[in-house]
Amino acid sequence: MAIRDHMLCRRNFLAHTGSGLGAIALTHLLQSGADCGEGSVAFDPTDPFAPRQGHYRGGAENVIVVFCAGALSQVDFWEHKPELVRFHGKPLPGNERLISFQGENGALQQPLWKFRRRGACGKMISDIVPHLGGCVDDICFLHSVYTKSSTHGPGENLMSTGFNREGYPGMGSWVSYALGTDNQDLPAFVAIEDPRGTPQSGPNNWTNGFLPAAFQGSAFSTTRPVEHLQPPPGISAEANRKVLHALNRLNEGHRQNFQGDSDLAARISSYELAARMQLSVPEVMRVQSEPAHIKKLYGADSKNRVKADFASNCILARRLVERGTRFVQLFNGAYASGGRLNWDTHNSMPELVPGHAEVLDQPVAGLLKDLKQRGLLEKTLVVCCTEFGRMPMFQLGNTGRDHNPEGFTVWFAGGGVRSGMSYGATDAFGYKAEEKPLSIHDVHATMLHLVGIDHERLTYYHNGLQRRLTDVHGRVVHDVIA
Amino acid sequence: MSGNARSLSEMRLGRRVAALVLIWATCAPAGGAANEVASVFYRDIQPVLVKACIVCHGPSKQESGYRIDLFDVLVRGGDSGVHAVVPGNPAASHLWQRITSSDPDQRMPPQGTGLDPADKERVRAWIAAGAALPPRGQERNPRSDHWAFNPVDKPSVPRVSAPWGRRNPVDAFIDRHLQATGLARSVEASRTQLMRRVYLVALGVPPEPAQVAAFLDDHSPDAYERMIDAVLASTHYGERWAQHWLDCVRYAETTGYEVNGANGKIYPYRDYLINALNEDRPYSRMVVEQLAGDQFGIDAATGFLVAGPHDTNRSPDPRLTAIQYQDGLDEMIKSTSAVFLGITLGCARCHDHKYDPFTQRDYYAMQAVFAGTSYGSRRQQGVENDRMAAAARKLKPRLVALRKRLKMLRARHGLQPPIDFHSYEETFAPVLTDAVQLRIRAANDQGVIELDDVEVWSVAGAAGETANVAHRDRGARATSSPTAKANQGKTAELLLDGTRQLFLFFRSVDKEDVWIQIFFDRPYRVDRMVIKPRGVHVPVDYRIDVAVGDDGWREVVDSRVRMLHPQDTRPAKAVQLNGLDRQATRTIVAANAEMRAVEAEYNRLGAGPQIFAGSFAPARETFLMVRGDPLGKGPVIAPAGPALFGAAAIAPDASESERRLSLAHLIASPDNPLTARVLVNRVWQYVFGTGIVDTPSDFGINGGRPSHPELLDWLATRLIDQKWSIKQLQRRVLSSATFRQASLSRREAEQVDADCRLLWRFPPRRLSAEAIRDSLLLVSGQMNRRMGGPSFSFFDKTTNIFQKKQPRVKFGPDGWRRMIYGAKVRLEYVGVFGVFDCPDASQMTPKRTVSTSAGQALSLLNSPFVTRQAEFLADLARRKEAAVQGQVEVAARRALGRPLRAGEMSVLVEVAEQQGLVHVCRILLNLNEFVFIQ
Repeated sequence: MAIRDHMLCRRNFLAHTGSGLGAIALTHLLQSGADCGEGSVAFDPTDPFAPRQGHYRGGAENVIVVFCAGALSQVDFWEHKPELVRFHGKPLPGNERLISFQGENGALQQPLWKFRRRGACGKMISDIVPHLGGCVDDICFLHSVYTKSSTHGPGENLMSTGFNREGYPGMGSWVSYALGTDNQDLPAFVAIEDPRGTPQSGPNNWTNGFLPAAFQGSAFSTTRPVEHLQPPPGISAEANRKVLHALNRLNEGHRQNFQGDSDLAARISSYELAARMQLSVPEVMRVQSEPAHIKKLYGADSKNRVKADFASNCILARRLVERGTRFVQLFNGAYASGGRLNWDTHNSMPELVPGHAEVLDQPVAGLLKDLKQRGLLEKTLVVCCTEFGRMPMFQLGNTGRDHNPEGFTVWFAGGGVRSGMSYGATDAFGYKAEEKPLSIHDVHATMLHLVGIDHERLTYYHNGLQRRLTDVHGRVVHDVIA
Repeated sequence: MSGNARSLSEMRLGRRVAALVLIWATCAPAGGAANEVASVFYRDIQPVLVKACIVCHGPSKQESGYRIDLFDVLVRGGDSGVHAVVPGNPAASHLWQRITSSDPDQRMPPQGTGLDPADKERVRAWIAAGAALPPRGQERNPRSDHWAFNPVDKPSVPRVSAPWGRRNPVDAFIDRHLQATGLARSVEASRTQLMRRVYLVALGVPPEPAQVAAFLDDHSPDAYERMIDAVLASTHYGERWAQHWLDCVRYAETTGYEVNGANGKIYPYRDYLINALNEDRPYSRMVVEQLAGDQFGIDAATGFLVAGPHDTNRSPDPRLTAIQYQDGLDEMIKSTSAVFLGITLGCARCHDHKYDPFTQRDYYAMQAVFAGTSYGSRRQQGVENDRMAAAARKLKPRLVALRKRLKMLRARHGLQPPIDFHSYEETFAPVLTDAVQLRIRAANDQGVIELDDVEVWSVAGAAGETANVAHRDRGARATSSPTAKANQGKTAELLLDGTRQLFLFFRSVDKEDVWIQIFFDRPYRVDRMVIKPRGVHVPVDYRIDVAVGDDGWREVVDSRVRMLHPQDTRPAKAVQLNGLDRQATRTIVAANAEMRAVEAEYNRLGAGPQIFAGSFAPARETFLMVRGDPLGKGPVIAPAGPALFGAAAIAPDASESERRLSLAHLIASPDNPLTARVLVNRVWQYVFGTGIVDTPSDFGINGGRPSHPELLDWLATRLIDQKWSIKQLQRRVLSSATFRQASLSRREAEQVDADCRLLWRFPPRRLSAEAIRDSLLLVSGQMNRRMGGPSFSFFDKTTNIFQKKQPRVKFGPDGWRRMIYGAKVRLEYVGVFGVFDCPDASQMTPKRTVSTSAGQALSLLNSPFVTRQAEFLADLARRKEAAVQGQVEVAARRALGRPLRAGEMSVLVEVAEQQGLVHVCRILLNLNEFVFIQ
């Protein structure tokens, strides 16, 4: 899919509007500002990505969300539950024959891998993620998150957009709408799909919804190029330059008759920007140019092709935020596939999960370490999430866990977050958020706060309401903010 | 972040201060002094306060003891004891202090960035002028007295001078507002430009060079009007305007949600709309048909009800199932209320509407109207259905004869009846045993075996009542040959859970020699086994053994004593029946196959043509769901339209179809204050880019206010008077001098009304995604004008339903039909054109966003689709002209509808000579002039 969202910056806009015309256009903008805004953010429609300040100063400047599509098991990875070991093989007390998404559950199943203390903070974390285990001092675990849907599509929607229905703006759209971006030659919001495929809810995870299409995420990755970035085969760069030049001349001539119409000028500038992106996007995609020790840190040198590709995506995420991209949503896991291509392991967890964990662990740990060593972690908020958790039981007659919307773990790192801590908890067995429960809206409110946005004041009018990422809910968790 | 970044909380720019304050201030209706006071307050002040404050300071909540709906409290103030309004002195008025406070904790309203500057100015002016209020006892309910909920006015046409001439009454309404702000309409646009504008607005494609030439040659005084008539008579008209309607109802051909599979045959709804618009079916009729067309044999029209997303993912989880049921009806309530009425009734699902006079009861009353409507395929009544029904009747005797023949064959060979594919019982002589075994040799389709449940029943006697001893609760255990690992495991243990569970059943790995052993907790005297297959992959050749002593297994049942099941599709060589030779077996298999084929045909004919449209069954009982919780049943609710529209027009015991019909008539009534206004406004918006009300599906208190309220009502009245004819409305608008004025910007007008809400020119705008694609195809000469029928696909086929779709790169003539005939897939963006703000139909989109992006530039410049169309255009030009300049001229006339100017020609000829004609065509198809309506 093409880069859809890259619009114009005022610099180019003015550069293109010869003497005097710029002034007229600007008058227009100052009086109008309307077509772009039915919401709380004042922005220039011809320059939608100009950096804007949030409601609060300080905090993170960029966000990277690692989205583990398919629902990752909190009790096998992040949250240590000694009672689950003690009650292994027994039914879940109080919910002996719990019916969940795929039906009846079997007995409680202890974590499939051992937990041990890691880091200076002594966090108990599973052996299945040895590299991330080494990062616990930089991580803030939220163990008490719950959600409203137990199906993947709506669950992903809720996690990415704040609504389980479709068509609401993704969190990256909201953030780039609020803050613009720092590099005008790269997209503000990039969705990096997993090398194995697109997540279940696909582009709805990075949709602009009812926000202007400028704020839609651009989907590309190291294995999926930006569509239509270069001319079709058979058309030389020279021919294309000539075409662009002639196009520009004709458009400029036409615009003389429509002075004051900034849309026309904006469209002329969009071709200039497109030309610049033909250089800037390949540059940022040049992950192979990274030194060997960096590739090794992420595991991009792995013989495991999926792991190496995902690691390259993690490097791409770093290169993007390094160059000023505001928001990166990095997917780990593809669509529903019986647990083969994503975390949706209803069956055969002992066989399926280690493969997925290997793909996730070192690359994401490498990302955290690399951001840290470059001094980027303090201004980059890293969020690791999934659409819901998995049951502490195996499914009846099976060796996999069913969907569990009642309790799961999301973690934060960097960007103004207290590190080396755990917040909230599920019950003794890892089933239901019990201690300081957090809705997805609370997670979003906190995330927005960390990038300097008051979630109640970031709004956009749509079909009768000033809409927010957090619907009418959300509470900032101040305890996790450094 | 950069130092000069602007603050997010910066106030919205004062874009409308100049224009709209003036608009509203100049349009006060005539009347006495008290009326005047009342009307200023009701027009300028109350809507502002209601919109900003009523949620927290109104009838339902009075934070700090303050409320704005009671005049004495409004002035006196709340618990703070400070006067809220000090007449003549805004600075001393607490209300003014709070709405202008720079402290975000003090500023009201607390959410967002505060009041619009224009609204602030209204409040200030009102206080400064003495804060006059209507006389006591004349307080109006600010919610139900909202302008849009009051009856449509019948305003007279204003008498104002017309410096540029006037074409029809529309212009008088426009001129009145323009003149009040010191502005004037622009001069008339050139005929070439006008014709292109009419075509792009009304048809979504530009005129062809021959059409342009004919129009320019026509010098008769009514040439323009006849051109409009021809445009409105074009079949492209329905295709263009149906797309707008489809946006509003978020029509797509897939379900959305996680599975997002194909809906079934839903395109007849699209074709219904195109035809109805082309035939100029009265709008009131279209309303009724879309809600209850099944009552008039127009089933396709009810596609409206099921056009929204719906979750087809089935789960045994009761909460999830309840959410899915509620969400499915919610989509119908939201679209019915928003599309026809411009109200946001969906907001009242969990609580009463925060702004508008709609209660949660109203919401569930409408749910009761749709409580029998579901998503699915249904019979389409009509000629085809009658033909199929007649054919089915004709086939019936043959089917009866074939069944009789099978019965006779069974009797001849002394076979037992075939099994039931969902549940049946095998009995045997009572035997004391602690285990049974099922040995399966084949499934009916020779595939793997599936079974839901198996029961083994003990004999009643001294030991007690008869009981299913093959149940896990009695300690029974099961084991089997290998089972499928995929997803849910599907082990033999699942046969003993005593229930059919959606995903929990047994599935073998092997297709033959499958075995299942069930061990009881102790020996029982048993005499029957109940087998519950799943209707597919059913074991048809099997034996049942019981364990006896240490000797192993003893057979008690052999399925080969049974007659072949009608759905047993094994070839004769795989079938063995006890006591039958090959010849006899072949005869039975052949007879069975023939019967099956005839039966399938009979069933197909009997079901009639199937389309995806509203499917109806007796209405389920409807409850008010407390706080919208899908399991939180409150009181039973009877069907009704919103109480605002008067007494319930629907009897509590009305049948399912009566409910929908009654609601439809309530909406389609000339007395409904919203229906005509909302439709008129939509038409206006799609002509001028912005509606008279700029929130086209929200005419409530939180929506936009009309820029020309009298014009809206005048047009609504004319619409109703002219039998709800949309084409008459179109003709009126397209013929107006307002529409015909030039689109050039004028600096002095820009400064007063940058948004052009007053229409001092025709506001230019970029074409929609569909119009760009359609125009490309028309200009390149490749447009396939076939109307209706199955859609073409924008995506390549996938192998797995969950797999995401990849945009198709190469299209042929089928894909060169108009874009409305491409299957809309939810959750996906169409390649190349999706970037042009083309919605994915997840949400109703009554107004598209318009943005400009580098992605759009890259798509039009570099995509194979556009490059190919450029090649076609170049070929076409080469066929018509030999010389380069002539070729450039032909291509430009097709793309732009006008001759090139000398400067343009020289630039393009140079490109043609150096790079080739195709690059000239690429340039033409990328020009601003090509993608803008001007």
